[in-house]
Amino acid sequence: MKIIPFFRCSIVLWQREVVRFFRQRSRVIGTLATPLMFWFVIGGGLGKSFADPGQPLGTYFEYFFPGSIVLSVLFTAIFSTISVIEDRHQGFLQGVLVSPAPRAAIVFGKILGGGTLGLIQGLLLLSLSPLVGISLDWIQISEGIVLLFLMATALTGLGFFFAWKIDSVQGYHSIMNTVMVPLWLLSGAVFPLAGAHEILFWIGRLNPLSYAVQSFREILFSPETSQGFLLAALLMLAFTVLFTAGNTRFVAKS
Amino acid sequence: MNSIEVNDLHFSYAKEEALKGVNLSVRSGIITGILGPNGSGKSTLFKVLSTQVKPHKGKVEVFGLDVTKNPAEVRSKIGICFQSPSLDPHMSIEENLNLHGRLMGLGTDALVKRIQWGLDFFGLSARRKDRVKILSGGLARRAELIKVLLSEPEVMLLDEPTSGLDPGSRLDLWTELKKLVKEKSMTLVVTTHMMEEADFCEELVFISDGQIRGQGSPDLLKKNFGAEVLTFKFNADSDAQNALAKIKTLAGGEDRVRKTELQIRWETPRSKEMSTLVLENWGPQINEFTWGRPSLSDVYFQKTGRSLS
Repeated sequence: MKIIPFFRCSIVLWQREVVRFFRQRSRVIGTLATPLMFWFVIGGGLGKSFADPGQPLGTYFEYFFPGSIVLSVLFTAIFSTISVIEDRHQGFLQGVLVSPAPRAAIVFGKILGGGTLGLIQGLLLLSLSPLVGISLDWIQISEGIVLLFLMATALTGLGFFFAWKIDSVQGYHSIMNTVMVPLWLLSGAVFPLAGAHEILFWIGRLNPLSYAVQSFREILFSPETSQGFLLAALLMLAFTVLFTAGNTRFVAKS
Repeated sequence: MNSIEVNDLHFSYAKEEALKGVNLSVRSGIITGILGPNGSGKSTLFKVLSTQVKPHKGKVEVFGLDVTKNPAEVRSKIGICFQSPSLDPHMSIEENLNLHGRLMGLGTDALVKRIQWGLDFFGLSARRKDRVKILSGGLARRAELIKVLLSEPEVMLLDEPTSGLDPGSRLDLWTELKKLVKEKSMTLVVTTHMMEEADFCEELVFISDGQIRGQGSPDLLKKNFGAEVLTFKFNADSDAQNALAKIKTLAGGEDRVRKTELQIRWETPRSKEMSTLVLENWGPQINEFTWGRPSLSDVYFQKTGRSLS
């Protein structure tokens, strides 16, 4: 496999993802407005009822802020991979698959595209951090960017896996609601896992997204004691690589 | 020299066998038409040739490259135009061409030149910035063809390229395809279910029920038909019925007689003798009489027992 054609192929597919995203205004608004709405409604609604038994986390509004950002990344990954199904139905995918482009480059371009869009969405929400009293320095921003991007690529990889197997958008949505949303709910994004039922706690411990959410929270609120960044970043990178390799196999077989 | 060689190709969807031992050779530098009704197996054959599916049995080679063992190399030698559009409707013609050109491995300079050539050849230069979703069927089809031609493929596979086009656009597209084959010495394989398009091809392959039923140039196929075609249009159905009964007794083993409404159609090698006989017996009752060589529709019917549009 030649290196230059590989990246050329990936870059054009990545570029297409970004161009299409900004040409579909409803998509930009939807993926940005939904997490914001969740943040205001759930954060505001549960704020008074919520009290963390273990540690002082501030208001629930603050607690839920990183979770909302991760939700926007999750939504972006879902919407980005729905296009695999649309592309299949519209014939675009067929056109790509009969080209001599390396299969890995096709998958990589798609995951890179989802990662970029997730990062953009995440950063847009992150820019609201002064609203919860956070002022970020460059180290925090850099670590946040890395983590958001890797979370987005890993989730896009997972979304791609399902989108490749599923032929209908409706079916894909129901699977996403069954897999992706619980993945987010049980990541410590909505409630601290430490205070949850034992079963939920252990599911959360096994959920790789928990480590990313925890690290992202530390980057925002307690950067001086943050320790999990490297582990979380490596974990997300490992899942990205795993999904890229696995999806490449599926694409090559089809 | 042959571009494509297919030997004993089998392919099934679940329990249904779509291709039942297809053998086929496609000569280089000409237009070969694969002709068959819907469900005959031509689209499955197209999918195998374009490396979208792998043969279940048999061997398929494109320029000596096995489609199963070397799919990537085969893809770099062929250009494929699908029946359904494969361009992104949200992107412009130029953006789509850039994207697909890159996927074909073209560098910037070559890509710019190829895009310009394609836009000029198909008269789309002024529309290059238009998004594909606003193009008419004919223009979108031309944009698809430019995409296919970007990599200067040695073989172009076109799956019902004129599907959904009006007769005028269909004729224009065929004129362009013929010009292309002449200018580029390219091999074109076209699937179609329209008999009127068969005459544009230099070689025809008849497919029906997953099997090749005949192959040859249109002239050769007509020549080998082995009969000429007589048609008699009667003034009244009763006259046609009487004549039909008599003609059937006169018809030989290889003759084929069909009656549709007031018309009797008789394929026979003894055309001179038989036409004289019919005209002598029913002359006053006959409104119209023709005598000629068989059409490709006749040949197709003879080979497959089925009619095409």
